[in-house]
Amino acid sequence: MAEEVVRVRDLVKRYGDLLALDHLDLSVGEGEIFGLLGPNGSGKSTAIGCLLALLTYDRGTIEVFGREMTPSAYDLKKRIGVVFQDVAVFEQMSVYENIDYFCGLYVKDKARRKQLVDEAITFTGLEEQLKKRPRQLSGGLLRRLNIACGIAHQPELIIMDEPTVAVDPQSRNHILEGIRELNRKGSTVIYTTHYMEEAEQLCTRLTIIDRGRSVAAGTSEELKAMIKTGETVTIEGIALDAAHLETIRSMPDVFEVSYRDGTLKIRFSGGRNHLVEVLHGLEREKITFGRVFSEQPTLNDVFLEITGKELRE
Amino acid sequence: MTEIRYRFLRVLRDRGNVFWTLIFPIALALLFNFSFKDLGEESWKNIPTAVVVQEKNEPFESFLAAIDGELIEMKTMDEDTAVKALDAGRVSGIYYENETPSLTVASSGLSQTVLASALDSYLGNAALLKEVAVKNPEGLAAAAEALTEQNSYLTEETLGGKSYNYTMDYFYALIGMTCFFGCFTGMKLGEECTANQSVLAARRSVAPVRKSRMVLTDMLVGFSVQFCLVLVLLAFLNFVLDIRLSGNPAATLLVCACGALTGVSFGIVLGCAGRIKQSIRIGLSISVPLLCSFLSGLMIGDMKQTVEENAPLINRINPSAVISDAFYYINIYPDGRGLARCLVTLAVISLGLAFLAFLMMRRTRYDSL
Repeated sequence: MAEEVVRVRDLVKRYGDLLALDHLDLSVGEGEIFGLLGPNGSGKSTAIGCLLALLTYDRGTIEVFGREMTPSAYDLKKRIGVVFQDVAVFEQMSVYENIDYFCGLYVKDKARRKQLVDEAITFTGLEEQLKKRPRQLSGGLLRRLNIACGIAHQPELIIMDEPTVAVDPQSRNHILEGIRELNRKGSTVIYTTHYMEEAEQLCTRLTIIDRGRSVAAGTSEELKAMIKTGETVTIEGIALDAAHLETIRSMPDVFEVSYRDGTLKIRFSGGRNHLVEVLHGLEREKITFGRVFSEQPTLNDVFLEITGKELRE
Repeated sequence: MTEIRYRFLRVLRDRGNVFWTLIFPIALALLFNFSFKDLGEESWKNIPTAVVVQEKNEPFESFLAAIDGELIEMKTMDEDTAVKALDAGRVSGIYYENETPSLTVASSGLSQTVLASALDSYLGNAALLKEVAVKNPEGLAAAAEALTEQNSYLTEETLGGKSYNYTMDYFYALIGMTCFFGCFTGMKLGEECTANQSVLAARRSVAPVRKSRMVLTDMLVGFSVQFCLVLVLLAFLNFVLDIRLSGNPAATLLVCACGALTGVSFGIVLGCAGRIKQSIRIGLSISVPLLCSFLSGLMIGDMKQTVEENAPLINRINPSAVISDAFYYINIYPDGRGLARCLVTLAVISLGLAFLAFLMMRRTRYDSL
């Protein structure tokens, strides 16, 4: 059984009257890419701050690598790398100097550090930016620099707090692929995001957090299996009357039908595919239609069904 | 070593900070030099004066002859010519020679005041001069000459035997202020150790580096840079403005080092004070050094003396005043004990502030970031 790298039990944190973390429980196993998914203000960054012993908390325990995490746990800190949501680099130093500086806080041996820095530069694709200052970099390159500074020392546990915010799609794909590569090399990753697509693509296990509390946890498939919503079929450019709609509602596994402005949306429960069945039915009735979409349930559907609101407001 | 090297780079490349910490004191030094340069060394030009003889007065003529070429440039002329010369500004005043001499001037100023004082000096001793003219006419010139001499019966000597130029107090206060300006650098370094000040500080805080080492590294870097800037100022004073600090160079450097360390330590404490709003900390970093400099006589030369008379404890703990006193002990009145007291005071303040910064950061978690 994989070792438990991070264990958070019953964590409570208040900002005055605001309950930011409400008896939060988390468990991250070795080798996982663990997703902490939730909307803005749900407590993700606060949980990370407590985990890193930067923030006080009112109650609970936090263990990393089996030991309590404290500000003076230097041997634990050596094994952790952090990529903050905001870019945290020195404006006065070049790309190379920034990476070398932060790696130097963890790795004292000069030769080993040089090797690690070179690998981090290659890993993040910053070979042509080494002498540039942060203000000369685009947003995407700045994010890559931010990541390089956090992972250059090849930590066992990497904590990434929304690292792809305001990043262009090309850089985002590069970053996500990089995270997979880090995981393949053996790092455990805790990844916070409010982008469900990223979480689905990347994370081996997830916790959905809302108002400081874990509302669901498991793999992506396990989470989707928790909810009633299954396949959603959308058909555009279709003309239907009341009798047609009634027939559709009576199909097996249908739990919601909506028809507006010539667009039909059918939501099914269960994991079975129903698209072919729907199309056959329309063909029998000789009903013409435009575009057809079939979507499997997303984490947004999971969040919506559990909390009653969208993941991204 | 890597961390020290990069912290140096970070400080040295912060050009705005270096600029204000160095250029402002140099600009002030230039202004001081321009203002004080010729004090006590003014050259005197004799006052062009017309003399109109209305009635011969030998004692007055002897008096005028005694001051001609020393105080005035005398020209005898008729009244019309004299009045025209006065109106044209070619002469500053007209002495009318008669039984009771008088003076006519066209405006009021230093020259006119001098002419009036000279006339008053003659009139106050007119009876004496008339008696000398009657009883000892050969001695009249010498008597008139004696009236013009200013005799002083006191000489000034400093206890240390060195000459004292009060304008140097301003330059001592300026050096003290420059040392204290190390607080700007110190504050920036301190902010980068305090996780709730910036995400950069948070990244440094999660690294496996002891806070004591972080504080000491930043103090060393800040002190080194600030000390070098103070040395640049001293070199500027010495080689460009010819303002020489005449005392022991090693002692001078030691005082500057202790002063720079004090300024940087103060700044680091401010930077680590995460609970205080940044705007307030910036305000303190500007106002405290300036206030200390003001109280040590940077703006009003007598201020330090006033503070000494009314609240001497302030002068004992005000770093700018302590630095100024140390320079006084080095350059004017050699007193090993006094100098040692100043150095110990600065060292205690520096170490106390450094320890305070360490306590503020040690094992600290924050309510919010």
